[in-house]
Amino acid sequence: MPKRKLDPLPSAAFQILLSLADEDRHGYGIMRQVEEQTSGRVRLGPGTLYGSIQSLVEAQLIEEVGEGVDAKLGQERRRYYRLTTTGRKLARTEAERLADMVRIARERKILGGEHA
Amino acid sequence: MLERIFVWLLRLYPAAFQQVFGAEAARLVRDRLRDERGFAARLRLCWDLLTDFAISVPREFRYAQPSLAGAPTQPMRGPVFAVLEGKPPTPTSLALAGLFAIAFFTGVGYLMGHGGGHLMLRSLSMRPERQLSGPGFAPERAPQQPGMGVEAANSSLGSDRTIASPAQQQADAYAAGEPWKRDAKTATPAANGQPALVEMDTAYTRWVVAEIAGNLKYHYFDRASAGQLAESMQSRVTAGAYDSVPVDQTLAKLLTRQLRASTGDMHLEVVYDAGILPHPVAEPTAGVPEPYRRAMAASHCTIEQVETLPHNVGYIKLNSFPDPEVCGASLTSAMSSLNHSSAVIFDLRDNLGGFPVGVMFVSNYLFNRPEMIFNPREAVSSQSWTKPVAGNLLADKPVYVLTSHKTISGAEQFAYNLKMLKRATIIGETTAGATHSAVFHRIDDHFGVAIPEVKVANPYGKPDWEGVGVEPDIQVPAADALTVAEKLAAQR
Repeated sequence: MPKRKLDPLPSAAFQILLSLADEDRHGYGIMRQVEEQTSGRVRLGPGTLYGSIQSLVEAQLIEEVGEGVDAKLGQERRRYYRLTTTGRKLARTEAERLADMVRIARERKILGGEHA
Repeated sequence: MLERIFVWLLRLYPAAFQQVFGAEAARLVRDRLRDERGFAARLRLCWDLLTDFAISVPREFRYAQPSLAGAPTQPMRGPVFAVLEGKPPTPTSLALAGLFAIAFFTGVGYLMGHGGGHLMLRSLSMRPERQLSGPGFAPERAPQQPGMGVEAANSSLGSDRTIASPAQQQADAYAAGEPWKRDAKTATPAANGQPALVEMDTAYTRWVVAEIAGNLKYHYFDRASAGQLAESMQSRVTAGAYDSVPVDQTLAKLLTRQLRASTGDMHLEVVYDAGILPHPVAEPTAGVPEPYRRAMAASHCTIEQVETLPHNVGYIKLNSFPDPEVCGASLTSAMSSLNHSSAVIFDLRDNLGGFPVGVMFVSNYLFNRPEMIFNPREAVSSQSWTKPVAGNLLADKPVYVLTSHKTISGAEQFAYNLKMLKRATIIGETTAGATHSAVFHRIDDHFGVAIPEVKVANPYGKPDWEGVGVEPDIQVPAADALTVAEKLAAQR
């Protein structure tokens, strides 16, 4: 089976990793968290969301922790996902890479900031 | 309503994806539908979901195929497949696949057999196999030794011309002692079975006829009638007169008949070969080719038999008229051994032609004065007269020439001249009827046209043997000719 590509890490996958940084979430929870952390810019549809989740699970960057009920959403049982250690490390590396890019952009006066 | 549409749309994802995430994805859609209300929010939701479907469905199909290793490995009856699907193919699927395959290949076969002339399939299937091993193409054959007709060609032709017709080249090969059948067409059974090896379309026919007309116009010795001939052929082509004629022997024979009818010249001939017509052969630059020498040495210069029959009748069976440069000594010794005969029988029943100089060499023994030996390929020159041979006693002895329907070319020249000069009695069958005096122009792999380029006056004021053969004085089956000749010789 062709491996899903996580290198470079797609934006959706990175957002999912970030959304799981503080707590375990189910699919809809992840979608809402991503929407919130991106100020509504990114709203993951079911295909993109679960496609990415599948890739991340296969790469062992997140893992399924079992099913639970989210009382706020009703009595349905939902699958919860958790960030693995590897996933956390990768998210940090990615964040650092992006921070580095931002630093360079500032130096090159592409981006405004405290040094500009 | 929207929920049902979007949940239904989730079925577009691959089975494996649906299996794992189908329920979750449907729940997500429902959650969002429940939470996002109002016209603007719904519109945005619809946009989100549709774009997501558009992007992720193809991606999932690309990535989400189960691996081949995941195919079931439990023993099953019948063929085992590595499948992309999660379950083994059902017997129904296998049966349907088999039926489909049969239908498909039957369809392809039908198209190849019945497609129109413009179908690529047909042109592929009808492509002729190259008959490179047929007569005239055998690699071990002696190279084309210029035989009769070459001298004529030399006198007036450029180097790009074919110097002898295929039949002539075969005749030469015969002279080299190789046992091929005379007729290239009948000797190629594979070609015989497929009467139309070339693409049969009107354009090809028209092209062939136009090419023949063009060659006639520029090469036929009688320029005035050549021009008219070419014009009338062109107008017949334009009128579509040849369009329904099969592009094979039929066309060649029809054209030959028409050319001969309008000119009265039997030397004009359109040739068709279902195999591949030989390409022009370069003339040997100097001397006699080594293979010809070897072939002559091996066949005793095609002198099959020399003996003295009862009643002191000399008999020589000559299967070609070889090049005196190679076979002069053999010919001299054969003729000398018959010097004291009271009559001579020349058996040419298996003679397939050869060198005009060879014909002249033998004729020298039959006259004690210079006599002109007519050669339809060559203008008369000092070489056209016989030269008496010193010590020869045969010049006034009766001569009998045995012929068959196979006797051809140079052998016919010998028989024709002796007959016209009333020097010999011809016994047997009418000969094949080929002077090989025309120059052969190759049109393509299958068609060629023989065109006389020089007009040679016939000293006898009659047509030569082209197309009609030499008629014997005494017509008997070739097998009986020798007996008849022996009887006649004994009576004298």
